[in-house]
Amino acid sequence: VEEEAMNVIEPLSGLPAGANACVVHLVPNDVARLVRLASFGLVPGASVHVQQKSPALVLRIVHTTLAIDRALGEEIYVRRTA
Amino acid sequence: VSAFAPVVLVGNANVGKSALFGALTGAYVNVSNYPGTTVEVAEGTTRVAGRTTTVIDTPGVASLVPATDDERVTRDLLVSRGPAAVVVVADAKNLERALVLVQELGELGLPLVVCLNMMDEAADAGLLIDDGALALSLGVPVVPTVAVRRRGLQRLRAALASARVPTTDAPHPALPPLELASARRRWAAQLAGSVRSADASRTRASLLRERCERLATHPVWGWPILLTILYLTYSFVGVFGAGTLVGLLEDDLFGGRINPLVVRAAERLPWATLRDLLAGPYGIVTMALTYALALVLPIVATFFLAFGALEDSGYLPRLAVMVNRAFRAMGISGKAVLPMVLGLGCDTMATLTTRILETARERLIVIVLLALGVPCSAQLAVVLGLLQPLPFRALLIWAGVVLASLFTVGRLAAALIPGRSSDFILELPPLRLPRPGNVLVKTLARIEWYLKEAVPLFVLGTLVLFAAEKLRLLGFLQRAASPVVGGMLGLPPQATEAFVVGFLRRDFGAAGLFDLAAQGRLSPAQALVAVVTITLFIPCIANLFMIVKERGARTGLAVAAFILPFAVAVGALLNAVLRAFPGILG
Repeated sequence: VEEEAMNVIEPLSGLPAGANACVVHLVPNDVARLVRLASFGLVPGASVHVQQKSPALVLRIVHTTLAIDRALGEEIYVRRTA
Repeated sequence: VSAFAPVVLVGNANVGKSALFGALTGAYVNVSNYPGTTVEVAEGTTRVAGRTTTVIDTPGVASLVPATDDERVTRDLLVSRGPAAVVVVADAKNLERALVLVQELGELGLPLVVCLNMMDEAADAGLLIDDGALALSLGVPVVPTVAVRRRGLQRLRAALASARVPTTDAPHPALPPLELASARRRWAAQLAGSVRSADASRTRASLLRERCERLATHPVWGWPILLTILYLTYSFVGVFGAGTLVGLLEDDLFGGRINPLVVRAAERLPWATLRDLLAGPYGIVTMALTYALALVLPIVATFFLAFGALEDSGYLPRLAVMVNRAFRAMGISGKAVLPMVLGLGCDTMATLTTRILETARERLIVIVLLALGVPCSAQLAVVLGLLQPLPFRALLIWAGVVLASLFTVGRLAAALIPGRSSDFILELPPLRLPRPGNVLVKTLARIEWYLKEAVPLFVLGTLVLFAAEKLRLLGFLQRAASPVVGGMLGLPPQATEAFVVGFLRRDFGAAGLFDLAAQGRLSPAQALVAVVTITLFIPCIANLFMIVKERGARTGLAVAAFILPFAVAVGALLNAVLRAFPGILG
């Protein structure tokens, strides 16, 4: 069951606080927004740590701490990692 | 390095670019911890190889693909100024992000030097970077520095002469934007990984810092922290600044020593008009200088100290995270908290920094809210001083009415103004202990700005009042305004003066009310109504000019025409409520 969960691709907003994940793809409905996220390191292949989900989604990407709207987390698809 | 081609500093936000600029040129620019403080481009000079060379500081950018005004400015500058060398300032902890810029700059064919700044923080986080290997791989000089401690500056200066166009595995520039960004990032991550080792142990300071960072935006613990910071600021500015210091300066120094001396000296003057001009009830010394130096200065100085420390600490972007949701309800993103909090320093300055917001709609909403209900430090301080002798409930009512006004107008504006709000994407810089030297220099620069900007307007305001009284206009104005001031707001006629000079500077108006209250001429209810009205009252002249400059004369007039009746209406409503329920203020 554990292994199966690892292979599921889900939106970043669905992850609990404290989870680690690897970015799989981003839903490109606004190119400018995605380029912006990419410039902070949110690109396919990047490792992300979810620090907290409220009042905003706070992510750690390597040594960058990034706060984003929760709605944006729905456009970032990830696979959970250990 | 030629005598004419400049050196340009480029880097992400919060990498210490401004500190490096200051250390290289000896000039001080605002060294702060959140994006948007260096929207304006600073220029200075430094000596490179015995020659005077121009150094240009640019706003912090995440990429050279322009998405914000800052990025547009930086890119245009690089193309138009033909720099002799571009210094890519990197946060040593965030090498990947700087390398993305290195690749983009390399594609523009620009000669680079990479400056690995904040090496002390990287070491605290347990990171080791092989700068030699990085230099070899990129083919450009790489210099480790700690700009705030002036470490590595000589090496950096020396390296400028050997700036080179870097060799990077640039992806095909015709790729779609997202693929291009990911390709750049992949290359950067690979290179950063190969020159960095993370096996050194982290210091206890760095572990403690991470814990504090988690608590500062924690969904539960973030709120008591926010309230504590608010309370400490209030104690320092409202109680110590507005109470203790103002008491010392206004009662003891000006009231007890300077003013009696000036009055006595003025008595020897043969002309009554000149005598009154200096030392009368609307005298330059007895009113303008007493207000500016004894009443407002101590409060403004303590606010600037507290604000500078907060800015330096990296807490303000975390505040943006905490209030993001409340701001969303007003149709703006949490990012707008940066100009809004800056507005607590100075609304005019804040109106300028609305440029960091990405949509025109959001900029307009924030400009209106700033002009309406964000009191600037000078005004806020006088307001807090005025509320201080009243029961604590008065402070809560004032804050509640002002916040409710902001919220209502924000919602209304969001519904009426077409367009969409921008995304909330905000980098949280590390929390740092404020450096006393940095905070002090910043505070002194702001006090200097206050003295230059505010004191002449205080004198001008006093002259207007003086002339109005001599020409018997004041009594006429008081009678003309009495249906509003006396009837609707229930205030004594002298309060009209405060509102008149409030046009010149908001704090001057509040200071007039402070004086009335100190003389015991305002009841608690009157003081509260007056303070709420003057807080919402139209912006000061400087702010109005800035709105006109940024958004055009029509918008400026529309903002003023909306705010004036709105402020009076809210004040009148509060007055009616306080009269109907006199028990509210005890």
